[in-house]
Amino acid sequence: MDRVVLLLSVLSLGVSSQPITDSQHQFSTAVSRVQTLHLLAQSLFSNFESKLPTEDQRQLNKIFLQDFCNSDYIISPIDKHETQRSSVLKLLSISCQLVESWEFPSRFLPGGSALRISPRLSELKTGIQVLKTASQDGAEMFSDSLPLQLAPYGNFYQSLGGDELLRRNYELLACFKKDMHKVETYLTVAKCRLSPEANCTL
Amino acid sequence: MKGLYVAAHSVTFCARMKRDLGLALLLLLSVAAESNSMSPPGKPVLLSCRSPEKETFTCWWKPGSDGGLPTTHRLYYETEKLEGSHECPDYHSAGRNSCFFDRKHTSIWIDYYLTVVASNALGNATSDTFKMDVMEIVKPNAPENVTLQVMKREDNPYLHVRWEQPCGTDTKSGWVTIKYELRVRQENSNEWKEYTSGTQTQFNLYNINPGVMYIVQVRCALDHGSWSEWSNSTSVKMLNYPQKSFWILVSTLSAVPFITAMCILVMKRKYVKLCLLAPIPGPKISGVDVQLLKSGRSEDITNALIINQSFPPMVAWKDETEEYLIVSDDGLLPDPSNSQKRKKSLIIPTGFHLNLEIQCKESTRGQSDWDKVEERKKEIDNFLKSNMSLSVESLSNMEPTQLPNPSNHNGDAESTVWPLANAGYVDIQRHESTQEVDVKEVDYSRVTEVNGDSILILQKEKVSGYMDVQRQEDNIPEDYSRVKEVAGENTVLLQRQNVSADSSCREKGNQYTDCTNPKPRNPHVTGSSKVGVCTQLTCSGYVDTIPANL
Repeated sequence: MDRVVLLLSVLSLGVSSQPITDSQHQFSTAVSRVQTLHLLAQSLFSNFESKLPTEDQRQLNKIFLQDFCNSDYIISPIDKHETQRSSVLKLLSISCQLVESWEFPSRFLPGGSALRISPRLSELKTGIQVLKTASQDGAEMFSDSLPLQLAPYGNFYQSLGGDELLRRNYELLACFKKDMHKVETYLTVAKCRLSPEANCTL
Repeated sequence: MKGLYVAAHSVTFCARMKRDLGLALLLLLSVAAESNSMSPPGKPVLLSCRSPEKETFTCWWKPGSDGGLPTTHRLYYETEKLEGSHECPDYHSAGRNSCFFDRKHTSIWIDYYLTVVASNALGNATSDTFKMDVMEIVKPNAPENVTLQVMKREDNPYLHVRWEQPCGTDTKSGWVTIKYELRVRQENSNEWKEYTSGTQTQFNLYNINPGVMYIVQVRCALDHGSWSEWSNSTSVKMLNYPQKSFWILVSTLSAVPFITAMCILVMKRKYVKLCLLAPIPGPKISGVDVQLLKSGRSEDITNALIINQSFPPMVAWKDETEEYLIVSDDGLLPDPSNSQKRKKSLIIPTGFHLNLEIQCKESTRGQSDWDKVEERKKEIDNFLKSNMSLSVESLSNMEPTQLPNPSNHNGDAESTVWPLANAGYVDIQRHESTQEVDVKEVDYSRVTEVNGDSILILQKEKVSGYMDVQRQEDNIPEDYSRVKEVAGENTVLLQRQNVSADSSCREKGNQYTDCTNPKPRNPHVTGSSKVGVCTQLTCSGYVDTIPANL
């Protein structure tokens, strides 16, 4: 009888520990994927900038003062304190939204199609969704605050000419880089919060 | 009149004078003011901003000319999130002409618009707006406490480099991910070799040479952002390995005498072989010359092998049928009651008795024959006695027993049993028989019975020729007993054989046979019957000769 109890407890421990290690593994995968995307965004941006004549760079910098990113409607923590205050689920949800918001526009990124940005984003979104469902066990359903709004920016992606095109590409690349950095930070914080190890980034 | 004229003239002259003086004064003042550079400040320039850990940041500016007057600089910023302009929270923590934004005032992923305003008594000057995002200005400090260690391993030493992450970076909560890079150069070289360490704070450098000083530097980057400055140089020198060269020297030195020894061995291998592997002398037979054997002359060989060549001529055997003598081992003397039988027993064994049975038909023999037999027997007995006296001591205590048949002259056998000496030598003298026969008496002894190991029964008979002519019994075949085998010291095993008359036993090889005449069958042949002598030297090595010289 004792043996049976012991065996059952061991089994249950084994079973329960399984999802933790699985989620850790999935987190690691998601983090590495987003890091790749961030690096790609950085390389695209720096590539684009290097091709511009210096004069235009300054101008663009000034012009960019007025503009905004298409993901600005997504409210996300903007400092460390706020980030650490947010729950894992919230972080995952925001990350998912951010990634989703770029699935379509990433096709217009200059050089993005060659690097398969869109498929990577789709894969990342799937992974984050899996993590979301895993951490949603027992927690409240966190509903997405805002639906994806494409309509107001429909014109945004119309083909433009000359300087407009240049400006638009610059904006896209800058925004993409920023958003990828955000997702990377959020996912890493979420992963380390769930990880039992001391130094989870190592 | 004149006075008025003069007064009016002087008043005009004074006004002019005042005006000029005022102008001159103004001129002087302006000149003085210019030489003192009192002016509104020049336009300051924002240089850069930097965040070492993605939580705070600092911005620096360069002031313009101050206009000779004490000038103050103020930094104002605007963000997307905040309404209106805000002034720098901290002008002092980061030094002169800087503004430090602490955690509360730092937001990431939003744009900051900064301006610096320089103002003095005479005016203000505003710098150009500087737009920045904290995300883009992250540049960590260099890694700290870089240590080098030489790890000694068998034939494969390596350098172990260790460092710590820069102060303040929060990798524990995952806020930042840090990666490292290090570079190495040798002391006397300007070439750096770079390695990526990833997120580990240690690194192993293989492929290093002893006796060379190595200089190592490390740097890091946060979130794939800008790289930090290289850390201070840390250097270490690896010691030489004296053991290795020492052992190489020793082995080379010891190899030289070894090689010399091998050479000597090889050159003198014959001598060495002789020394170590001495030849074993082969067997040698005295009197036999191996070379002679090799040369292969048969006569010489046989001469060499046969020591004693004095074989008397042999009579050829006839009817070689082997017959064994019946030897009965009983201590009793033959039954004297058997009148038909005539027993003669001679000797021999140590303790054995042999009885010789001779069956003779009484009818065939004449009286004279019996007498002869008796006589002979007595002679034998006498002889034996005389011979035995020599070796009485060694004899077992067996006395010749006389058979209690002195009265039996007719057909009763007298048997005398004599134990033989160990020498086993029986020499039976020639019986000088009165009976004249043409045939030369043959001096031989017939062994009639064989019993056991050391039995020799000799029966001396006098026969004409070599034949046992008296015998008419077919059961007892005539003739000679051939020594079949010499067994032991005392024993001669005999077999009775009838040599066929036709046996011309010339044998080949190492048998020396010489048969001169066939042996005639007719027992009654007397006279000049030539008798062949066969000497056969068989493989068993016995010589059976019956000389027959006619």
